Amino acid sequence: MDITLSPAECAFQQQVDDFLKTELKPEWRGVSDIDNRTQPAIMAQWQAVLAAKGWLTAGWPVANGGLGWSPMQHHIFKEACSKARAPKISAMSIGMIGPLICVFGTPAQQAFYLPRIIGGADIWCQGFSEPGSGSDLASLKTGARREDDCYVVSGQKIWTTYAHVATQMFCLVRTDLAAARPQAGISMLLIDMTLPGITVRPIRTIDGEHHFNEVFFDDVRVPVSCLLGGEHQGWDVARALLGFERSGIADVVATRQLLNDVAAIAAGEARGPGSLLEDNDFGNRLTKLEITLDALEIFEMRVMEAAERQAAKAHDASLMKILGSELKQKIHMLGIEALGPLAAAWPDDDAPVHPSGAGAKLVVDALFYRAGSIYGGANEIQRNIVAKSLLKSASGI
Amino acid sequence: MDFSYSDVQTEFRASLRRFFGQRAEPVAKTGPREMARRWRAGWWTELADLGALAALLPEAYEGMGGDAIDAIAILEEAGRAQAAAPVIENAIVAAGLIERLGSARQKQEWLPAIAAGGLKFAFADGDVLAPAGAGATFRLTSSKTGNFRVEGRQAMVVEAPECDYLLLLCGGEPGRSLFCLPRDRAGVALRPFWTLDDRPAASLILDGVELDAAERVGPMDGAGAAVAAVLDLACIAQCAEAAGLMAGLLNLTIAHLQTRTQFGQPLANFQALQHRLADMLAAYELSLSLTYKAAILSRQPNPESQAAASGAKVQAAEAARLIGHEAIQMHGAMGMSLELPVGRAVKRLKAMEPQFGSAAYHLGRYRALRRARAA
Repeated sequence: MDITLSPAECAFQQQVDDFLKTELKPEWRGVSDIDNRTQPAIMAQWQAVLAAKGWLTAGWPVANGGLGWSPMQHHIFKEACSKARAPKISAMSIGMIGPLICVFGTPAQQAFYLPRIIGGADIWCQGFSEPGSGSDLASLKTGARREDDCYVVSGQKIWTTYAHVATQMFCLVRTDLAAARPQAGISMLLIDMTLPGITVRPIRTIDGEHHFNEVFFDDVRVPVSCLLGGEHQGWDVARALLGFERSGIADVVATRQLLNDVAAIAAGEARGPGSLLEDNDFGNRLTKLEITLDALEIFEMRVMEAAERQAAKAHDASLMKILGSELKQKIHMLGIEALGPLAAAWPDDDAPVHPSGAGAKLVVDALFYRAGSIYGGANEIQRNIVAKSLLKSASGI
Repeated sequence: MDFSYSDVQTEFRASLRRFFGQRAEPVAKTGPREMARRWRAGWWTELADLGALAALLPEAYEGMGGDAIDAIAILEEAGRAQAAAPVIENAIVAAGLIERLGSARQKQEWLPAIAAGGLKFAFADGDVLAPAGAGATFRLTSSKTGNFRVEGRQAMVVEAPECDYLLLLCGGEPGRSLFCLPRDRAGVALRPFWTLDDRPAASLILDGVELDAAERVGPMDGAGAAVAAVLDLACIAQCAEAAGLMAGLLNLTIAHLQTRTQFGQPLANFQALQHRLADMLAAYELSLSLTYKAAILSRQPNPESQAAASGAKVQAAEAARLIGHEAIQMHGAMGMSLELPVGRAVKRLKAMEPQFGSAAYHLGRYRALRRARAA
């Protein structure tokens, strides 16, 4: 056993650090997810820099511009970007639909969409959830009936992140109402968001921001050439997303930055003779979370290292998702506690500013991050996956 | 980066798994205390023959020159099989103290005997890691002849009734000194009892015990650093044993949910139980991760490795409580039975908790080390 990076991995890490030092502009650092949604231009500029280096699509199949990095290289790259507070790369465009088109797209689809994804001409959103279909995604009802060379799409998607800035949507629709299993009648369509009949309405979230949308389809005519994968094969196409590389799910670096922010707030709050950070009760609770974060960091490395040996378990990604999101939520709660009464001030311009400067942002981030245990497969679904994997095993762990 | 055991370690683990597994069966028939006796008699020498007690010792003293990774490999397997052998007390604590502090003559006398399973030791640390004020440090005074006298008591010394030699950590400021004396020395009184996990222990009373200067192991007032390093190693090894016990509890729980039928279906179908099982696995993986980290870092002792050992203990204690209590709950009334391995594993995990520094002690130490690093 060994916890250090190999010489080749160290050299790679140095290469990434050097690149970030010279190429990541100071004004891009610390750009948050919500900034990405309101001013996608910065993310686009950063992605252009990465694309020029060839690193934007490092995780794609090698034939389509991927670099064949090892899981550990992906991990090193993501951690370095996170440490440098680089804008996140678009998960929908680069992480999800790009590789899906590489795997399932026709040559014509690849030739059209991939350069637009890499060049930033398109921003993608994901049309999966519906008012009646959340965790039970296979029950989705948005219909697509074939008419000549078009699918005519009618129905509604909801909680659609980015729909208000996106130019394209990868969308699961029902193409076969008579299929024996609900999963069998689903297809994936690549839908141009400017097509007539599409209406996007904002949903404001509890942090006061605009992340989500409702998207209505009223007889939208989508060319048959926009079908990704086979007709009625959409469920398998979507499931392939689960097999893509999983580094960064636990979000350890960002969570450690959050923990340090919370410690800094607590260090500035007086308690008795010392600070809140020195207070035994608060200090012990924060330290326990720090130890859990240490553990999660190693667990993630274990998973990456096992992936190198093709020995990672199917449920490891689910465990990382559960642990990473719930730990971050607990740290957020301690942060709110540390802010004291000012945590209850809505962060308008006229609200008093906490001496740490961190206050208002932390509260709205904490509010939005309640979504962390819901999106990407709710943690209840992840627990189902973990348990089923354990319970079908004959040999145990 | 590598979190796998080497080929040699994997092979060793497999032979240990067979060895422990063959001896795990009769516990329900023979009872745990009889099992404890066997682990300190015939099975102890068989374990030594397998090399498990020599793994960490230097080759010069008939050891195998292994490190903490070998230690956690052995203890994980002992935990999985619920083998109640005093491996940590002898092969890690006593061997580690003598190796680090002993003279060439002392090492030659005791280390090969530990490796062969011929001599057994118990370490009376004077409650060095107990919360401040609760400790009962052994008081050392010099006699005119250049020898020493020691007085004091310790409420609980694990393995004391079974040992040949007692390792005594004496004194306070300016430093601590280690002595090694035969258990049957005049003035040494033991009041034996069993621990809740069926291990032999005793209250130790030292009433004017004479110590020869030659029985001192290491420098006068200078044993502190070596003791701290060895206790960290013991703590890490115990976290590995806890991981093995927790893996065993998870497997028992999985098997129970698969086979136990209620309301016409296996318990495995009930989501209320599925989700709690998932949380048990998450706790196990986190704890195992920090155990690996602490073992790897312990090769080069420094504040970072000390923080890692403390972190491992905190995480292991938390995981042990969650997994232990959930395993009992999910077994229903069967989980309460003295006959079942579930309860025995939970009791072993409970008995471990205060040993080699409680979770509260290690949480405080982790905090202090992190503060010192930040300053």
